[in-house]
Amino acid sequence: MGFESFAKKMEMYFGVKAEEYPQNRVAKTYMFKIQPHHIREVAKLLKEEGFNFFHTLSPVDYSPKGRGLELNYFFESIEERIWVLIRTEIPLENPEIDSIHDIFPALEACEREEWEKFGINFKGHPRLKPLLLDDTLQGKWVQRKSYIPEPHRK
Amino acid sequence: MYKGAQIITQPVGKEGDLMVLNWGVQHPASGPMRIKVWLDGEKIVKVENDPGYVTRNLEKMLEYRTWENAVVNVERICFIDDLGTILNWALAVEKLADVEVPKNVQYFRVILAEVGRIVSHLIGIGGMFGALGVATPMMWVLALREYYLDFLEHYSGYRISTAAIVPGGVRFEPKKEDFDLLRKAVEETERRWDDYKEVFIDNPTLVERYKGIGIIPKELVFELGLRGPVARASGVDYDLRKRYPYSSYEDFDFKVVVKEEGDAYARFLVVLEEIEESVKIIKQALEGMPEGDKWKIRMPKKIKAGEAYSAVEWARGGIEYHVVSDGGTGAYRAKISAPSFMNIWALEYIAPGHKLADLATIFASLYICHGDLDR
Amino acid sequence: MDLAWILFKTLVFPGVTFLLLVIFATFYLERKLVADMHGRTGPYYVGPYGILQTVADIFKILQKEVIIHREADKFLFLIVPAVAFIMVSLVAAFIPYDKNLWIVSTPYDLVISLALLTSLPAIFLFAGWVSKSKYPFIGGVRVINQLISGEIPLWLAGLSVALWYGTFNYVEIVEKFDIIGFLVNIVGFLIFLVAILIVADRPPFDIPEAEQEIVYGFLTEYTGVGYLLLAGAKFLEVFVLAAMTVTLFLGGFKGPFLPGWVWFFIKVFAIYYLAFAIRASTPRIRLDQLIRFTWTVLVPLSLLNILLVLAVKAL
Repeated sequence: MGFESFAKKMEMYFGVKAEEYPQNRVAKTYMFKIQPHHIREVAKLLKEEGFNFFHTLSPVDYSPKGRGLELNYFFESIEERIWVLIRTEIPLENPEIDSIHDIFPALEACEREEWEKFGINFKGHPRLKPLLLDDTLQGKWVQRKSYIPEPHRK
Repeated sequence: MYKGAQIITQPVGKEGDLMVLNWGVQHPASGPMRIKVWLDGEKIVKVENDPGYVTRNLEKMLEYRTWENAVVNVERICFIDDLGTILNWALAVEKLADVEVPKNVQYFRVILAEVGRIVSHLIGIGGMFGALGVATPMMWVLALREYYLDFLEHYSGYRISTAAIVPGGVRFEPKKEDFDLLRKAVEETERRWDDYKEVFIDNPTLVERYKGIGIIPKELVFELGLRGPVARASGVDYDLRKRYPYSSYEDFDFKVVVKEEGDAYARFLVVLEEIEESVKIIKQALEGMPEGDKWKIRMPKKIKAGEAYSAVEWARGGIEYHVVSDGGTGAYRAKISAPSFMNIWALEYIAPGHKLADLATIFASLYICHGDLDR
Repeated sequence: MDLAWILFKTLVFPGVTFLLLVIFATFYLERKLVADMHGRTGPYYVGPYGILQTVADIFKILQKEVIIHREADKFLFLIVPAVAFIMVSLVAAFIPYDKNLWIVSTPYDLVISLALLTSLPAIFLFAGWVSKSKYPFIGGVRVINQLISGEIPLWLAGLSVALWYGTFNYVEIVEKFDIIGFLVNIVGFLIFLVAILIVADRPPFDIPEAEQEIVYGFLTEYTGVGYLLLAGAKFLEVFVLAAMTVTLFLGGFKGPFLPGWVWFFIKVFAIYYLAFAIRASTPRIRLDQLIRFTWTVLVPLSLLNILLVLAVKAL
């Protein structure tokens, strides 16, 4: 258990190496760039290895830069004080990824929010219902770069 | 009689034998949020949160702002403690631009952040009493809060939504009168605090209503990623100020308030005692204020492409930003991960099994701000 | 007694006009005294010391539109506030403000007033029931739960006084009042004080209208005149109960130097002040906690109190 064995298993099972992520001001962070279809296995591994505290799910829409939708999952190991960033990229045309809400219940609300704002289809999520936004904004995926809000002033 | 006034279309709803109660949006204790409650007599069977009535989608708005004037949007995450959220924005932007602010600015930012925390916690305590239908503590803490607001008003010109911290420093150079007002506020707090504590802590009815109610076990804190006073009241020693010090928090001597019980009363005590710790920090910062006349560093208009992650311990828990820059004058994407949004989901786990009367106390003890719940 | 005097008593003092004044005064005093305990000023701008603020507020309420829920029974919905108001006003008729200043005096004053007060919860339940809305309904059910547990101590403590003085008539009770009577009934007095807070839904026992839980209880759906009558009935209930306490336990209009009615109002004010101080300082308790408290503490205590009074009387 711990980061060492987690990094080793990540390399062994999924063939991804830990990279330093110095952009996190808060704490020492390692980044793993994984394939989207591995997310459930990685989440299970994270939980087994003691990365039990979920921080943030942050999707970034890189479509104007010619890339897809990047998903960043931030986790922390409370004992070791090490953070892990799981990064994966899904195509914007068909944004689909497995839900990991049953492994980390904290993600249930976060996935629901990102579904609503980005239109990411979290497969297996029990209640992908409108959460924060107004009914008129449903299906417009407001957080995507393709959505331009109507300006309030000219 | 005016005809339109009679139209209330919904008949008394029924779902099986349970009564479904819409606790909110128009409810004295819920704030702008709906909590759907399934009731069996007075007993709560199931609870469902329905937030989203004050959503502004700040994340999208931030993409249309420059690095500096995004402060105005960021501070509106929650108006009660606006300073912590701006501090985090400033830290994130400085991380992106690789800028380090001088020590005196860091100390003054600590002062501002702690003032924000005190102001917010005072209202929190008043609100927890308010959930029991007694307004006296609320009035008392508001009177005390006024001294801190005087300081903020004299320094920045605004009582709330101060925009006092900007990327690269603080907005104005603090004057001697500002510090005098702050000292007065601290003295006033210390003078009144013993009386307040006597009334607040040893209140038998409050203990009767709060003790043993809404217990959050330690495991649930990890499962739901709960933050701030809610996590600390359940025995999780997690305070970003102590754990990952920022803005010179390592220079100050304070203790992280942790309670093991995890019930509503523990959460109340954590909020109450954190005010004392904040007062301690402010006094140390006032004494040990380093010399320095540079209060703001020039920030570049455009910041090089990259990303930054930043988190600070805000009044309601850790508030975390993931900011992405593409080399422009503003953020390409900013994700705001707010503590109230994480903490509110604990309600669905802990409220069932309690009486309807306890819903107000549990909800107040979760210390939610609707601004950062919806963003 | 001539007819004019009776009419004056019924319509002016201590009759209808006076009772309206009592509502105004209770409203004003509550706001002013509670504000003082909060460290605020309270009503200030309208009239001297803000006295007319209450008048302005009441007229504002009167102007409000009457809204009736579509599912509600219109007739019952409108009649219930009036019934509640009349029932409380009837109790006020029995109270002696001075030696000869009362509207009705019968040999059964105490029993009649307690009976009228005890039937109020049924009216309030109706107010919640005919609103056809969830929060008022919960409030109505809570009224029944709370008042049944509050009224038994009220009856028992009140009857212990009647036992001691050997009469149900208020005037006779006051005339027979002396320091020994006060000392013997002091336990009953304390029980009665708690019981009137429960019966009148005063904080910390304002469970049927707990704002943070069920909005305004059975009053939620009422607007305009209906609301004013119901709220007025509740204010009058406080006054009537305070007046009953003064009459039964504190010697009513008896007192040296000053006229009787002045003494009466001084004593009522003291009870008011106590009720407002409790309101400003005590958080609300839960319904199950209240019921446990009344049935395990208050009711046995009031039974023991009757035994005590009987034992002292037998000596």
